[in-house]
Amino acid sequence: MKKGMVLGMCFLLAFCFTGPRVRVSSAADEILVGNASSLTGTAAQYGISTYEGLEVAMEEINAAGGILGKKIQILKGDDSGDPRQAVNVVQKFITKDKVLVIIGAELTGTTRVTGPISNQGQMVQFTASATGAGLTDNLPYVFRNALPEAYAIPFVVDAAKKKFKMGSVVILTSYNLDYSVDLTKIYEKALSASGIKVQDKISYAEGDIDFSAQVSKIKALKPEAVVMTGYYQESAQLMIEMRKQGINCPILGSNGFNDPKILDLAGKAMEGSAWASGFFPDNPDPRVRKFVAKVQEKYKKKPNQFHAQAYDALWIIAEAIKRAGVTESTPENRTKIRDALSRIEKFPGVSGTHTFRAGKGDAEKSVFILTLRDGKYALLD
Amino acid sequence: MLAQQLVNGLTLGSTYALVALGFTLVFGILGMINFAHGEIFMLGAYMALLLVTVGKLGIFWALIGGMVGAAILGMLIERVSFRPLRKVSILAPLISTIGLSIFLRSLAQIVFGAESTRFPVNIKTEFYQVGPFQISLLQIIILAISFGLMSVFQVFIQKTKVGKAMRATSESLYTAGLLGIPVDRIILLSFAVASALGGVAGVLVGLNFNAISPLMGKMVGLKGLTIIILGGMGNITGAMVGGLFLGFVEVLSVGYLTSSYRDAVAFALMFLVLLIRPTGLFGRVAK
Amino acid sequence: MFDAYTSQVLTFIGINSILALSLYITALAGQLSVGHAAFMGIGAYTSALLMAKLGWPFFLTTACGAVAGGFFGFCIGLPTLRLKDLYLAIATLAFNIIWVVMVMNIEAFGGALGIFNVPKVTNNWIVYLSLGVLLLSFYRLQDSRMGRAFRAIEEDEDAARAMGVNAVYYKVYAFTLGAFLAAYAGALYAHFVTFISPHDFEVDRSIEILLFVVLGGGQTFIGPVVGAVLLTLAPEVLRFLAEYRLLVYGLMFVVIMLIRHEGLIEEDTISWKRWSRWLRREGDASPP
Repeated sequence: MKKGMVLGMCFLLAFCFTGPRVRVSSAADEILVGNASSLTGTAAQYGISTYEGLEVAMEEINAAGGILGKKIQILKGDDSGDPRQAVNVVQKFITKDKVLVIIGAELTGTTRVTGPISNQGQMVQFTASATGAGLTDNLPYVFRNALPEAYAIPFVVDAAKKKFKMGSVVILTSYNLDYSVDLTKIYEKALSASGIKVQDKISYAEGDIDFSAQVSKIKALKPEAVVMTGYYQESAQLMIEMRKQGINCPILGSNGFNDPKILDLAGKAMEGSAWASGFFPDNPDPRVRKFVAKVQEKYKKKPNQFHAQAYDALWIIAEAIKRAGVTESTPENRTKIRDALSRIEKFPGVSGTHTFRAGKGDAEKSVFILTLRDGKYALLD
Repeated sequence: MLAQQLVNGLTLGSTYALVALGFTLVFGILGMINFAHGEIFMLGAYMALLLVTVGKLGIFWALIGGMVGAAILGMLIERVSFRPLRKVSILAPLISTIGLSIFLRSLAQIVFGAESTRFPVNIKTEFYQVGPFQISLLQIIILAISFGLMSVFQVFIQKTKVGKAMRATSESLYTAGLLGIPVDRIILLSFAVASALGGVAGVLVGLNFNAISPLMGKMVGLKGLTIIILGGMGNITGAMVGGLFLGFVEVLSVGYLTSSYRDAVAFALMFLVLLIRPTGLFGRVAK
Repeated sequence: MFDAYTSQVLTFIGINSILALSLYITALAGQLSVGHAAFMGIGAYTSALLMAKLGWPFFLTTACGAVAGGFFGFCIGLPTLRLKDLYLAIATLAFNIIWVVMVMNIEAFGGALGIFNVPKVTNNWIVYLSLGVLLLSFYRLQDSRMGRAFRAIEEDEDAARAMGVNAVYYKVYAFTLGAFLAAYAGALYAHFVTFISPHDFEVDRSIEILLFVVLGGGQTFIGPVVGAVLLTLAPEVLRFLAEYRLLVYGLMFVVIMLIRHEGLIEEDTISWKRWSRWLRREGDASPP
């Protein structure tokens, strides 16, 4: 037993360095797309949504004959939201798996560390979900179609000011979530530019379930509006607790509000709030309706913006590959794909029309300001 | 606002107390920590959820179901992680339960999905204004159940034959064995009771805060550890008082200090207690 | 020589090995720490910030990082001297959590956003040279006075004291040194991944380091290294399992505790005598 274990472990060691790659089929007749994302860990639901969006797009593209006659296969690369693992996943995609394109990473932190690696490996890395500032700056191979918060928030503040006419707000920050801390700063900047004061800033922790203390504090402040900068679970809880304690002022939100789950959790408490989205799930556009129906049928849930942006991302990349006319993963070919990608204009996606400009990795997209009216998503007027 | 915060603290604290009881029972008897206790708490909530959604049972039965399910899970853990390893070293069961907690958390994420869900039952959120604070019907129910269970448990451990056997075993495993107490079975039973308490706490928390997620056990587990240090490892009264105390401390530090230091406050307290009075505020059961 | 991916994995293996040894040295004197990630974080942040704000060179910032870690190790190790076993473990765990919350709240340290664009300086030469020096030191430690003092304290502290061993000195020394090494590894880590945040140094990471030692075996200094190697490779090898990976990972520890709780490497496993007897087929020798 003892000897067996030690020997076995030695074989395991040898295997992972020299052994065959575990892959379903050869690369010759397939296009490999690597998806670096968080399928486990605290951001798992976003990673899973992204993967599902990719899957829907992949099936559609393959059903129509694939790209340049080859079918797409998506390789999963789970990093658990951990930068340490993310760099391994991406490096492996580039060096060992020799994918053609990488979609990822999921979060701002993981994208920040992996972008430079992809860039150095001359591999296009396209993120459909990370919203931090400057992720694509000075990295010609890194792109994104997620709406950067810095871009979207001023629109929200403007629209909210017109509609709610508030003079001050209370900001809620999830102090241990980098997304929320960053967003708070962005909101503060936009608010001061609009002449709106910040009455107070209150914090909570990601993963908290009890907000009675924070909400009691808010109640004592009698705010005109409340800004929420965290992910949807805590935001939903806060909304419910606020309405329960009789605080009925409008709520301004963030990307975190774009998961339909928040509607399930918060229900009526969410009525009248306002936030920016790259995706409007009740958009009457027939393409969006078809997409929503497909996701509903396949995964038994309504798509969120991660589904939508990932779906668009794969279609956009397919278009870029087609225009570049190459399918083999070499640095020259991948550079051709990158060039084709940066010339795509007015691409019609379910999450809006995308335009890329040379030298800029972020897609230009329209921003929807959404609100909840009578239980349904609507555009804030 | 103070009165309101006190009520909030009481409700939160009573659920913490239940979880702490579970930890302290196991430590009292074996001198070991079940690191997967937080996951039992979480799975108790999910089992109740299943009973309500799939089994179409009422909340009352879901509570019972959650307790029973958690108890069974606890006994399984005893058989897998403690019985074969407890004579080997103190570290081995700890590592095993760390592995189990990772396993159970991932299992829950895969089976139930990574996002948080809630009980689809709408408990009437009626509010009663009592002087300077509001208390909801739900909070009253939770307080009643928590304190009720704690009282029942106290009676059980002090007055019944089995309870006395448990206390004897926690004094000294060896002597209890000599006295003819079926030690293995008592240990199994202790795990069952400890886990049942943890499971019901999970259901109550899920109901009170309207949220259940696969990760809800992680912090609660660590806090449970804090509580038994504060209250004295193996000390039952200490666990209950410690749980309530932590509930108050947390709520007050959010209300009056910056809430982002809340966790630091709890653990700093624990650290201080360890330095100054390692046996806890109530002293620990002699080990 | 190695492709980029293999080289990267090797660097992580090296850093994790140093981490494992940093915990091992503390454990040698009978002290179990579940807070080593905080020391790692202290080293990482100190080095990253010194380089960013003061522009100091790598060797200086890394050294400062390690010293900072050692300092905190001393501050924690001294007051917790009389805590035993589980209580000490929990105290270190508490320290870890408190540290994370504090850093999360201090904007000057980046708060929850962390520090990015840390210059990438760490490479395999630096890591493996350091590891080599460490391994050599541990080998020499075994038969040294200090090594024997550690063993005596670990076996039975009271008896050791009675024999005149200055337990206080050795325990604090071991704890400080462990923190020093963990901080050093942290600095190497920061200058490799180029982005650090408080989340990288939470209790989960401390537990991970503990698992290196537990899996590999705490009886010899080779054990923790083997544990680090295997557990660094595990996510890579198991990656094809995608979302089922953590299931297997967690289950692995339950199984290992049941079949071989002392860890993979026991004293026998690397004992030259046992191997040579088996190779020469002497008597009823069995492989270690």
